Amino acid sequence: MSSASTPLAQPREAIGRTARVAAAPRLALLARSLPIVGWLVLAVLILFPGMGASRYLLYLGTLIALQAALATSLNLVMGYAGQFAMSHAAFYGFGAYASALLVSGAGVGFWISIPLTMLLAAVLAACIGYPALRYTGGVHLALITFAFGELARLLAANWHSVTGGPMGMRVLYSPEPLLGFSFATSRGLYWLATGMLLVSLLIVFLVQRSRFGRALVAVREDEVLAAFLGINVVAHKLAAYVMSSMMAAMIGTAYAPFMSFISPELLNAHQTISLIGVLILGGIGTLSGPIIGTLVFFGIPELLRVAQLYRLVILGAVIIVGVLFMPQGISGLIRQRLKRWTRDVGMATPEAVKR
Amino acid sequence: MWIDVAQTVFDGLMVGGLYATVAVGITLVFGIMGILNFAHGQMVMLGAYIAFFAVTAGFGFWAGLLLAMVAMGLFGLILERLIFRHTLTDHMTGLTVSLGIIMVVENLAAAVFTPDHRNFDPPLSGNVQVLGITLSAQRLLVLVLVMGLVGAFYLFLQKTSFGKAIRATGQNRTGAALVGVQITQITALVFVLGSAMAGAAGALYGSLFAITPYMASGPLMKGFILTVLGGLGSVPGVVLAGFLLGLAESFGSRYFSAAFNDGYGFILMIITLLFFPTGLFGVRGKARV
Amino acid sequence: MSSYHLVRVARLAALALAGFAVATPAGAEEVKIGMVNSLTGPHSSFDLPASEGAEMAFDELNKRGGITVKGKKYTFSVVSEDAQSKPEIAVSGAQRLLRDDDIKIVFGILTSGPGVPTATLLAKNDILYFGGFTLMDTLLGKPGFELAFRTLDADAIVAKSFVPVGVKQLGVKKVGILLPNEDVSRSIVAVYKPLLEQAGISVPMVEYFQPDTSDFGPVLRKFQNQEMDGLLTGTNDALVEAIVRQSTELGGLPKKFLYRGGSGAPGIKYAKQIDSFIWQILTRDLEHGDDPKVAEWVQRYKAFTHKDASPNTYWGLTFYDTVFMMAKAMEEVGSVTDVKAIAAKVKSMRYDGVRLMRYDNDGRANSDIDIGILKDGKISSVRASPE
Repeated sequence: MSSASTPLAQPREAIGRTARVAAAPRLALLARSLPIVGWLVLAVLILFPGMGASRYLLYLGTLIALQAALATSLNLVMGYAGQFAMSHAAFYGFGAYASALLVSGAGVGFWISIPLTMLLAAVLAACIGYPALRYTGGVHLALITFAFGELARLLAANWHSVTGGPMGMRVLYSPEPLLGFSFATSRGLYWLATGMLLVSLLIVFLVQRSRFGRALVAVREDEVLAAFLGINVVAHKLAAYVMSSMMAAMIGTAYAPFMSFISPELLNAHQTISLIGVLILGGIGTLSGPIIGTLVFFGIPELLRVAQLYRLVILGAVIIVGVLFMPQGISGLIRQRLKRWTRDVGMATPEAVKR
Repeated sequence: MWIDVAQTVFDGLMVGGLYATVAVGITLVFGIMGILNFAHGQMVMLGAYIAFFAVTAGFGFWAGLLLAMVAMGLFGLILERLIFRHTLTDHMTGLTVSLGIIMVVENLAAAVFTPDHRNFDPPLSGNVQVLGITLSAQRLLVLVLVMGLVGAFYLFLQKTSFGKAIRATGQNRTGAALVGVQITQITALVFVLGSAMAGAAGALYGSLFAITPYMASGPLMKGFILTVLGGLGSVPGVVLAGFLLGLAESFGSRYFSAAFNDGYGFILMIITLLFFPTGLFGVRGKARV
Repeated sequence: MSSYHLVRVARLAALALAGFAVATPAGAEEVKIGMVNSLTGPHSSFDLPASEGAEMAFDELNKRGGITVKGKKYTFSVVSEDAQSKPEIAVSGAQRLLRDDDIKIVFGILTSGPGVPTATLLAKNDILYFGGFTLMDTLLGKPGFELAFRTLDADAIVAKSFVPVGVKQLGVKKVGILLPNEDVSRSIVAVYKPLLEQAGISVPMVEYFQPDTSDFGPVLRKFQNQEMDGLLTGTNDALVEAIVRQSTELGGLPKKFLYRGGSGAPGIKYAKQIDSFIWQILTRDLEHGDDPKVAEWVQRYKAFTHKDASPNTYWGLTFYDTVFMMAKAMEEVGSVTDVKAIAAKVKSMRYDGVRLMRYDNDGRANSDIDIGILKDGKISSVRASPE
């Protein structure tokens, strides 16, 4: 053991580093285990209302689960692919109306209506997305999806004989029992909503880890470069848009029996803007971001009963400030913190610690 | 029957002119700064309220119109300086920020003004006979004013040095800088002018129709449609598209179904996009990838 | 302790216990009543006064000492939720009320958007519900809605008096119908058109406009120069005000208006430019009538709410009499929790309060209303009784 290399030349700094370094492994452990902790927390959050909670908590939980699932699905196209899909709420509403019409009008079973609705949504998204995505810059997509969203809302509000017009449509059915479980009760609907949330998370998780996901990120960062690298940019953008629209439609099918009522306001562009705000708040492009954002935006005010108007003003301010100064959102902040902690561990040498 | 057609034409021109007044701001801001400013519609709404308060306070419509233009011009300047200045490099950020602005402005307005419909007495009332056609006097006034505003704006762009600088910046930012155009000044000017026009449109809207905090989405959507139809960044394109749209809506509602009024615009937009992807006067061609 | 002390302690204890017994309110138990109303948002002009009327009624009942059911006294406490004029928030508010198992009776909501899902939810949970919105008519009488009441007369009943009064007072011969493209409008046309035609009026045109229209030029022009002298329109003040104003601006349009709606404001504002205007006051005309019961009620309203009467105050009578009917039913049935029995009792009652109130077997109100008339610059009203 050589003594020449010991850093005792600067005793104060060594002590400081020793102290910090001694703490660092614990924080680092925390940092590295956070994803697992995150999943555990999520599991607890999901199980809590499901286990014998009050009817109201179940209702709240279902609402939040649906919103979180929506935010997660929007994250796929906005966060990972970097595209502005302003039609997200429209597809949500489309899912609700389409499946309601299929079930009430055509006598299709609820569970079968889900893939059917998703298929219809996929076709619709492809038709809208393809002409819009051929151009770079994203503005075309934003405009066209915004226009489509408004058109869809107008249709829902005016195609009175089919959709019931501005008064909306009453939904009288409940999902049939599946695999022996009844999904018709409020508890059952809660599990349906959380199931959809988990499915959305799973899809985004898989995409994140796949080649497709990495290509999406490349497209988001620099389209021309991505094309140069051989990635079919239009196909990737389109796929992301179609997938996230399909997911939105899927979540919409759960909304109909849950609220027993659907109205054209579901398709409002303002709902999409709220979702974007939630994403930015929680952290775009991360798995936990949408969930954190939804909990903060919906959960807390709902419990505090803050007036809707002021909530939206604050969300708007959050969007402005967040996008300018904190583009990574809450989740991103946490992540930066974690990185710092894990980085500290690397600095320490075993000899210094022993001292 | 011809009288009816004439009245429908006149109405379509008026409505289209109003849309165009809103849209020139959007298309110009997009052309110069690459930002799609979703919050533009809020200027229309605020302009309407300013005119409303001016009239009910006794200052009269003309003062209200002027005040709306000045106030919105200032508001546009503030927005540009404080917020949009920072998003010049990242257009998507600019779009997102404008979404945030919508939420703040609209909901604050709803909280402060309450959602009740407001109306104020327009400067002219009743109807007049022009060439045997009965026309609403106020609508006629609005048409004249709108033509005046848009015409003046167009002349400004064509004839003045500021206007030429704006057009130069729209065509090629670097080139314009090279010949000595103060880009920062120009972008601020564009915002101010566009917002002032929107404010004027708002005051004019308010003189005819009900004012609510949520009235922005209609003009905004029409503005976007015109921007796409006319070609992103093209002012003459937007004006022409505006009149076309106004006529389409007017005739569609009059002779077909009035229940689907807004739909005609969308159909027009979709058809145009299919056959003229860069709009009628497409100036900016984007790289096809 | 000595026996003297024991006795003293025992006496004190007895006194304490007795004091306890006296201190406990051997009197009133509470009946919790739930309310869901749009206290904010565009629908608040209807719901807010309605909620005030209901609360006033409960307050008056409590001041009398409450009701006596089977020898026990009961007072009322009200739990209020804001529907914010949105269906989702209304449902959310109703859900919160349902959290409390003690709430078995709910009042509120006069607009169909928030009303339909709320009424559906409450019916699913066997709540005795008193609402007022138009589309409730389509729910009443259906299985599952036996505990639901609509406190406002249905169009079918109102029109029976509204049309003859309108025809007589306005003197119209040819009437066009202009309504927003909604469910409610379809049912309005189905009721009013036949009645108009039966009264000898021709109805050459029925047009629907996009519900959020602000520019009525194109659709009004369809009615121009057709020699129509009357226009039946609705369904809210903002729309009708715009319609009246723009029709005076465009010219060549009818100058007599029949408003299927609750306020004379749209017509009164443009009184100089139109001929006449007639509207439906679904409770009582508070300003121009000479009914002493009404005048008294307005005084009590002002005292209770510390507000002045406004054109919307008459909605306050929506639930007022019904609250007293419900209280009386509770006393006669002998229960504050047996909602089925209470509902049945209310349906069999004839109550003479500020208005003469009755409900049929489906829970539909059959009560007298006032019809407001603006003619020759003068405002008056006429009572219409269903009996």
